[in-house]
Amino acid sequence: VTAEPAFCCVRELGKLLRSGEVTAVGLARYFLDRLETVGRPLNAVAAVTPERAMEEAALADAELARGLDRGPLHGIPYGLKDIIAAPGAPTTWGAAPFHDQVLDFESTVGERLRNAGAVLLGKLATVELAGGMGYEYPDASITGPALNPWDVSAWTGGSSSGPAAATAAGAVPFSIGSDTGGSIVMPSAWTGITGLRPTYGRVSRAGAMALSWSFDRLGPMCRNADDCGLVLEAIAGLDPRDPSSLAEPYRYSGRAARRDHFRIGVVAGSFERVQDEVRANFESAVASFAEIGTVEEVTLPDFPYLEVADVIMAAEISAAFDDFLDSGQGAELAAPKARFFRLAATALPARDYIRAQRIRRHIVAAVDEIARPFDALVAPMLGIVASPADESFAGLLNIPYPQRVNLASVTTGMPTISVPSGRGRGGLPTAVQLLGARLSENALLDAACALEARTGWAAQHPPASTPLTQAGR
Amino acid sequence: MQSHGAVVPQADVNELERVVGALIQAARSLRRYPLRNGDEPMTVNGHGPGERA
Repeated sequence: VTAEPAFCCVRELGKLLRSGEVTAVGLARYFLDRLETVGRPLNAVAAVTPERAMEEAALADAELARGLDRGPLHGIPYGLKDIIAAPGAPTTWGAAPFHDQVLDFESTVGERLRNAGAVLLGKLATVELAGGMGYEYPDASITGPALNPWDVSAWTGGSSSGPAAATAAGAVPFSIGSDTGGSIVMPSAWTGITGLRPTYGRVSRAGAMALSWSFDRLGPMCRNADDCGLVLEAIAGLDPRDPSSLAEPYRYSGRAARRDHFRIGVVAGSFERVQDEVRANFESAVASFAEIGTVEEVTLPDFPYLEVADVIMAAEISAAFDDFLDSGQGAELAAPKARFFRLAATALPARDYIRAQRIRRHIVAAVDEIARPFDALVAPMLGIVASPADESFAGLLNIPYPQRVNLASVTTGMPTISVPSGRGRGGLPTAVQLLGARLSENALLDAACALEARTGWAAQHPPASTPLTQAGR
Repeated sequence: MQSHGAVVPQADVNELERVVGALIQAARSLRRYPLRNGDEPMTVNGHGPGERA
């Protein structure tokens, strides 16, 4: 073939497929090989599903040959975070006590991606139990610490570590991650990809491990914002298998998207205590927005975001894993913090959980009022670049304001997209977060696409570390 | 420290105190937040009582 697919976005791969330069089977083989040769050394792979991949890819080729085109994801390979079930593959939830668990049914996202013609290549690594019971070291996963393709001595961030590493390394074109407290957007930021945490309820969680029901969300982790929109359109929508799923239909604005006249709110104080390079890159992103819209300063309402999230999550996680925790198997978890989770959650009175949920309602109303007039509220995604893969990250992430903006989205269920903003210390990626009002994904995606088009950061990728001549027919 | 005849490493005791302490402190800090009697909680599916997602 003439083109190099490893770092192609979905539309570019689609062009190659429809022009006959590659086949879906060729792409599946190529990316399966990259998962083994590039993904596995990064500890990004939980399990590959080659038989299914070949079957789905052959079907995609046959359908295209007879004129049946299922849309932009037709024939495009992808990976699922290993907290999401898929028939024929183990679903370990990244945790030793579940190392041989097989959930032999399809998730709703898997089903919808199959219907869109996408090709599942395998399961991608996760921090154990999506990090829900606590962890402070990157190795809290049965697959080991996920390594950052930009610098393998650095971590990817978690808990959607495998999706981030594999997507950034060009081992899958896109992946599906999960996010309860930042698990899509944070690793996306540290690995220089674009990750979307959609509105709560936008994407069904059926088939995914339940961690904290009122926070859990699934979403796309991609090469750019346009890919996020294409994937979101395929996986969004009402699902009788998930009572939180929303009835509102979703259509990505796509090529009809707005490219200017954005109204952007810069969150006051959000970039004052971050690394110098993070700040400089953020200011540069804001300057880009100023060229395509208006930029105003906004103040995030003062709420105990972190405490509300901590208390509700502890209670919900404890309930979701009630039997597991009672069985004493929590002692087999890798993270010391997680081993004591049961006792901590037991110490939490019901009234505190309910109090947190009452405060949460005030937070939703107040943040919505601030966010609603804007296309996006922006802040650095994280205050620092990726931390070392062999060191504790405890305390590093909690630079107050970027984390408060993330937690405002976490507690309210509003959507956030993490967009690359440049390089920081050690050449590692930095990112900006765009927070929008509930159901405002298209405004966020339009703004993110416009920013990416102006800066070019999303199109950059780490060096490909394996021979890239194997794609073919 | 002895517990049911088994020795519990001091590091574990410290970790336990840290994890439990942090959560209790978070919960206690919320008690300072003013609420009115009629303020209803969000529900487990992220929505209010009687509200469909």
